Amino acid sequence: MRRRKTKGGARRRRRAGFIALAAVVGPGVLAGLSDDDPAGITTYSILGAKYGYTLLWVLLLSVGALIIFHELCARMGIVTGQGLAGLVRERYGVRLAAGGLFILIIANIGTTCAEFAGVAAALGLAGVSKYISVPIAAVGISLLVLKGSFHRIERVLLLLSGVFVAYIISGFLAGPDWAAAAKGLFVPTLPLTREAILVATATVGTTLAPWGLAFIQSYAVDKRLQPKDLRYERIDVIVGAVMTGVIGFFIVVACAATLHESGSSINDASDAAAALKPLAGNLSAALFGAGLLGAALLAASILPLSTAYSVGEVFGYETELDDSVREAPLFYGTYAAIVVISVIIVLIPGIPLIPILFLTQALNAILLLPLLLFIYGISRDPDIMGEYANKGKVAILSMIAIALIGVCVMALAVVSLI
Amino acid sequence: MNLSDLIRCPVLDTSERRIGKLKDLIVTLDAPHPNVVAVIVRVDRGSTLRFPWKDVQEVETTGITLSAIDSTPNEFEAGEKELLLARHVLDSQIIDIRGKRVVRVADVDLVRRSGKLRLAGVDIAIGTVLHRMGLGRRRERLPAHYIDWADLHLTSHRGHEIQLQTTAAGIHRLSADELAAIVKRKPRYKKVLSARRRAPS
Repeated sequence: MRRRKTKGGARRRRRAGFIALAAVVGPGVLAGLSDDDPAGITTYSILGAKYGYTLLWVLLLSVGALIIFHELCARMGIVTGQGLAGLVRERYGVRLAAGGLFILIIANIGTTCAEFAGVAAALGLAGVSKYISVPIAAVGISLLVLKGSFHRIERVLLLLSGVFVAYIISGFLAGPDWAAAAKGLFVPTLPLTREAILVATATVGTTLAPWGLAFIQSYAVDKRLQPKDLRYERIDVIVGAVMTGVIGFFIVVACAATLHESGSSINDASDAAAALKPLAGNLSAALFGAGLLGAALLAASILPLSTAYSVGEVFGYETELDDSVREAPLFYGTYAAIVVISVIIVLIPGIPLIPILFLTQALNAILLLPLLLFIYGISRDPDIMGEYANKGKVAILSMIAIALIGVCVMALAVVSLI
Repeated sequence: MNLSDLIRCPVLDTSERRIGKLKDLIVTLDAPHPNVVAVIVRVDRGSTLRFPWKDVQEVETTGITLSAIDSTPNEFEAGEKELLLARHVLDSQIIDIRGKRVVRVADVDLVRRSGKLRLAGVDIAIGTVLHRMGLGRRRERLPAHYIDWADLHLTSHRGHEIQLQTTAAGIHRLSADELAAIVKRKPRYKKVLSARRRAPS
């Protein structure tokens, strides 16, 4: 009798655990998946096409840093109930917060342009003009955010992100050299050329994107998570980051196996998709295109959201997605402005989108440094975080990650100025 | 007098020699509108020193004059029940108890009263934020943008803990239902609600 009771009790506890996890899942997975946006896809494709499997370790280290800092940001959001920009103002004052916000807005507009460029490229593969695809996409996702309730938005976005399995299939279909991939993942080598360092820096900047850090914190707050949810939120963060890494891995591997082997170069993500056609068949290219479109739409809905959260926080007007437009004009106004400006830029006839795409990822990496230092400082402050302050092994690891990223950015500065 | 105008202003001794810059002001929450008990000065050579209020001769937004300097002033350390106005209040998120909302402090209002500097309240106007960023003049403040110190509760970990211990704290005036409404918006502050239920009435 007693044995049966214990068995039932353990099963009930497991089920309660899964339900609790399901209730919390969202911020980590969404933030992680949205890292595989068109800018990321292009960067990873270039990484694979130009350097084969040899720079996979940069991706691995970037994902490691992603886990550390996404966890810290989610933790800060849960413990304080505030977003990242708001906490920067609280800890470092109005001027530094304003400076950070300004650079964040510039970088976010740039990356949002890249997302719409991704929409244009993906649907361009099917012959649709950017003057049709981009405005429709912009209106569609804006309506989703403006009219939908929080839960509906979250569910739709998570569903969209299911398209990413296309990359994994694409990677397998390309028939890669797994042994070389394993070596590239664990053996760090880096040609000391400007191009290689630029690609490595852009990989860091696109994986550990500043807007992603702000987003995961704001989303954890909006989802009203509490300290008791911390354990499940950590799982959510790790799952999201690992998914970023896995998808990124398969993009690199797919391009390494095809484009690098054949010596083809790529100029953007649609080049990567189109180039896969003769080498790996029609299916591979179509799947790649579908994944690209899904990634673009997901990131295009999150980026303006993240920026709107940050603007509100710096000015002291905290908002939630469930607030109506009349209740939160600054929030929705910022969202609309980011979308409109980005769409206009992308629709300029003949505008060179690749420089925007790449430049903004390098800018992301440069912007990362002050932001990571802010995150480190705030997370370590017991006045703000209490018993949940960042200490011990995680504190050391986060410092090491910041140092490595600093070295990367400095190396880029050095080779750019020579 | 606004805190943001005082912070970083020069600190001088009686012979007008510069000692450093004002870094912060310390209050202990022993009254609904507590007085400043000490000033924190960042010395030009780099260290941070604490001077008790009795050593302060004059306070203006152009500068602060200290009347007597101990030959060995204390290296600054925050006491357990001490609140630093720039560090813990300025730009912090607060619960406006009267307005039943969560807002952020744009500036701290101080008034001079019989030789002391008293903490009166806070300003939450967006115009003040813009002014501190260097974008625009300081405007005349609307009543809706001013919150009396007795009507607010700090939400940071330290601020919350310190304020809860004062029976004068405004948070104790909120009914459980009013607190619950705030907690609904910011579930993190459930601590405040349960502390309220335990606190002496």
